[in-house]
Amino acid sequence: MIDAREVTMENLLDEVKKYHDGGYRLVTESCVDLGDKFDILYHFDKDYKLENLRLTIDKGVRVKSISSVYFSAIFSENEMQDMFGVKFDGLAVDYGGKLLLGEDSPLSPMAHIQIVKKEDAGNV
Amino acid sequence: MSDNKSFIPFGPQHPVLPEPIQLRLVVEDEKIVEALPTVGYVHRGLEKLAEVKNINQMIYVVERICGICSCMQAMTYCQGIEELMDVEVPERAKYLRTIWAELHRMHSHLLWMGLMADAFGYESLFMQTWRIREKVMDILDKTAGNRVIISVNIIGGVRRDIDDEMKKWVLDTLNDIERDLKEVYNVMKDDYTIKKRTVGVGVISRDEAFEMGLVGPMLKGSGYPYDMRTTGYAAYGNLGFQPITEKDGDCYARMLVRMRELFQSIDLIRKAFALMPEGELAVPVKGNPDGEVISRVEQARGTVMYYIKANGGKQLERLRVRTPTFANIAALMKILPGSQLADVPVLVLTIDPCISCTER
Repeated sequence: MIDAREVTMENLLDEVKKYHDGGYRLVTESCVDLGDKFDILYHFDKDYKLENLRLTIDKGVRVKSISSVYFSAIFSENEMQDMFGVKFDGLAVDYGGKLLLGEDSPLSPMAHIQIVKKEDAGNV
Repeated sequence: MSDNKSFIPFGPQHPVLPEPIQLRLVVEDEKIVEALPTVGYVHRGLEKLAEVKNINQMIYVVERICGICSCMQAMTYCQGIEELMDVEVPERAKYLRTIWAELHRMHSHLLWMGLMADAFGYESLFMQTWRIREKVMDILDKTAGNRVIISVNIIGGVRRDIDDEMKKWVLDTLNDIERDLKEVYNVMKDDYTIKKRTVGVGVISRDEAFEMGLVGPMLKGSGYPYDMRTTGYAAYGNLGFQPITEKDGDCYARMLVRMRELFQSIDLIRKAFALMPEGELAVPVKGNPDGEVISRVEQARGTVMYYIKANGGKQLERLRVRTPTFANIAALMKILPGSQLADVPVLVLTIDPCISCTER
């Protein structure tokens, strides 16, 4: 079982910075589709002990990237952009939704409700 | 782009790459000034399958995330589900899991050694390392019935045993492997050309490795003794495990970590056989998991992390897999800029990339 402390968009970067300054490593970020919301979990490790932050956001809301604090977050956050359509502000390296997906791939394939290109909308 | 800068796409198809990854390199003469790794050529969406396959079927799906560490993928997944369902796995099953996991570590490191030797142009050394690897594959074949994807893990334990006669044969074969490994180890450790290509190349300091969140030999090669086996999952808590580290943080140090881990794996398997108790292989598990859990295991390339969310149904609500290469790929953006173009194959292989893992 995991304990995940709730954070908001306002205090996200401050909380992440506390972990960084406290000697924690970023393990990864996980995204869970809750229907009309997303849970974004931030996993940190120090001496094999995991700490987790949970940010719950409405779909369509842009999220602050933590790549300014932990550069290695670029891959997790780009993956979330690809797979769930979550958009990040301040992403240090932005693959534009094409880290894992190709030009003709379905958009946000891991989300329960997929984003569909307008010209294809009638064919789904 | 200025006159003396050029853009070179390295990959996705390249003789040194066993799997497709593209490096977008900006070079100034022979020196790399920018590097951007690009993946996405083998993405299969395996995490999504967790929403349609039941928890037992998912064991066979996660094994296919990566052939080389398939056993440890299943082990991580099963340990996570067992924690969620409060299942206590029999002691014998824990030892058997440990033995098969270490065999997978061995064949992964030997595969890497062969690829590295091939990148140096040492074809004979490549064949020698893979000849040794074949003996490990033979052990997997005889003990589990398959060479690569062995499907021994089930929720609640394992589905195969290793009897005394087989144990004796495995230990004899490990003696042969150890003897052969020593010869190859001395060549790779002391060879002038290999040292010229690896010592002082792709240096990552201890602090940088920590900051970038690197795992496995990428971290241990920079002097950071971080290895999930220290936490004592499966039978590791009874085997006196200590992580192997090197301090120089270059390609040579990471090579030494992997080679020394091969001998360590042999020792761990011997100890596991010596301490393995008699008993059941698995306990029956009924019902479905409910809740969130994180399960971590040390694979050959580093720590793998599974985030599992279940809601009491037959399928999982979410399965997220953070594989070691996904963590280590950031290192390429650190070690490639400033390096010589000729060193790119060695620098790519030094992270022991597994692209199938990375993309899932």
